[in-house]
Amino acid sequence: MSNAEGTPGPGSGRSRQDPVTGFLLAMRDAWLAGAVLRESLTASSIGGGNPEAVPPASGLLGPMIGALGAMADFAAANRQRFDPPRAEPAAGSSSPRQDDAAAADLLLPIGHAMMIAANRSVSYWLGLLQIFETHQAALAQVVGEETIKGSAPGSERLIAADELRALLRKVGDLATREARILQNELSSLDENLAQGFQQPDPSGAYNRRWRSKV
Amino acid sequence: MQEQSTQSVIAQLGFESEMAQLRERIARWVAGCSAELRDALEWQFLTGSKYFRPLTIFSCYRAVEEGPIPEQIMQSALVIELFHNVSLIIDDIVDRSPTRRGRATMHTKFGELSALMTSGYIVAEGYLQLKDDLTGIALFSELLKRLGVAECLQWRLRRQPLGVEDWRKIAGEDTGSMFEVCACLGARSGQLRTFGGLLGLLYHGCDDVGDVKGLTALGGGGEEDLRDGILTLPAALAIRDPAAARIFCDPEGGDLTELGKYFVAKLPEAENYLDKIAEEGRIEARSFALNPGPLIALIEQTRQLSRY
Repeated sequence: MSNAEGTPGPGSGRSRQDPVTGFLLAMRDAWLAGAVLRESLTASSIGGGNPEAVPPASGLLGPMIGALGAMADFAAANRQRFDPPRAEPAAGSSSPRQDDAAAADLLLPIGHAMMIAANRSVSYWLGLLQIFETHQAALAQVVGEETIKGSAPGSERLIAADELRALLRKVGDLATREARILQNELSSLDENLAQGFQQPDPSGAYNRRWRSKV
Repeated sequence: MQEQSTQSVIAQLGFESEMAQLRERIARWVAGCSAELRDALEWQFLTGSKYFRPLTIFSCYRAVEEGPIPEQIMQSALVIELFHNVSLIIDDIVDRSPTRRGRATMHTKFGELSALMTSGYIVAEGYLQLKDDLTGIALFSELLKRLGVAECLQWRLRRQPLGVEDWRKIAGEDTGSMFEVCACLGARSGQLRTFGGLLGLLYHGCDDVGDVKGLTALGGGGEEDLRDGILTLPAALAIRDPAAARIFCDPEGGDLTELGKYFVAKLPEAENYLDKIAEEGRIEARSFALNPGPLIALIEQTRQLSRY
């Protein structure tokens, strides 16, 4: 399995002939970066508190990083699949390579699916930020002392409630839309995968055997 | 003017021959109906329709599929026009509207009994036209149920100090449900349902704003809504002001001229809100349609309705 120490430097293992490895390594690096960021944020928020009270970010993200590393290793081992064709191997000696190529056929869609999920996740969070930014003033009004205590006029409380309902609807709509896009993109990937594995129909015309019942 | 504009969208999207075919089918259907109701049906169907709902069905089909419009989609377009007219006949009776599209409403011309019986006749004919289209039957049943609920909800919530979110819910069930069903009928899936809902919401909001502007672009005036304390988009924005809310909620009706002034003052805010709904619709079209062009054309056309 790959580890942070063993991470190839820029350019290493990310040539144009090796898209899968490059992608997976990039994904792993992104997760590692996220882990470091989260760790530093956690440390700064707890200040001088007990650091053991908060689980380390690497512990939370470890399994994911490990899986990506393993996939990168696997893809690197299959790199020859993306290399320009060389001399054909001798008859009877191609089995391991064929097996690796078949496994890489599954690896590509896995990587693609992870990229789709990551994109949707980022898009959702960006959308949320935009919504909160738009409703910032309204939110400030809702959490204002007068509104909470009920000393604000009834009309202002109604306006605040209306604004809050709009915010809730938008958050819900955003989640639904992103989920539908995710579903669409994964369905399309699923369809491509199914077509890739489709066997040609050996039977030709409908020719089922039959026997009349007496 | 609005009719001209709808015609230009039909031409832009290349649905002229489908619309001509639809018009001919409706005329043929009316000609084959019971002689007892034929005059009323001719009065209702053979003049003035904009066919915006059939256009929505065709556009949603084109957004997900290429090639000519299939028979089942054409059939759905015919039935949506029938059911839309049922909703108009009932609305006119409920609102006591004497005219629509510049001419007498069906109940004014032929009496309430004829109008009610004709609307029942149209519903039965609609289901008959659907034949074995089970998806279509389910969607049209959903539509009729939701329209009925929305009408009751709107009436129950009249003259109450509610907000824009309440308006959104009512409009979403009323016009929103109509266009949601159009989108599902056209795409033959739920892929564009949310788009349809947003288009309907936009249409309803533009209708509300157009009414306050005193225009006939959408086929009616806004006096009935003002008189009955119906929650329109300008009303929802205006009654945030306690003075406007007092007149709006007055069971005796209050000073409608004064209330109208509050509504007019809120028109820029209402237009701004409609721009946001239009943008939501465009985003939805781009996210879920293979070919978003026809859907965006529908949004642009609808958005213009409050601007005439």
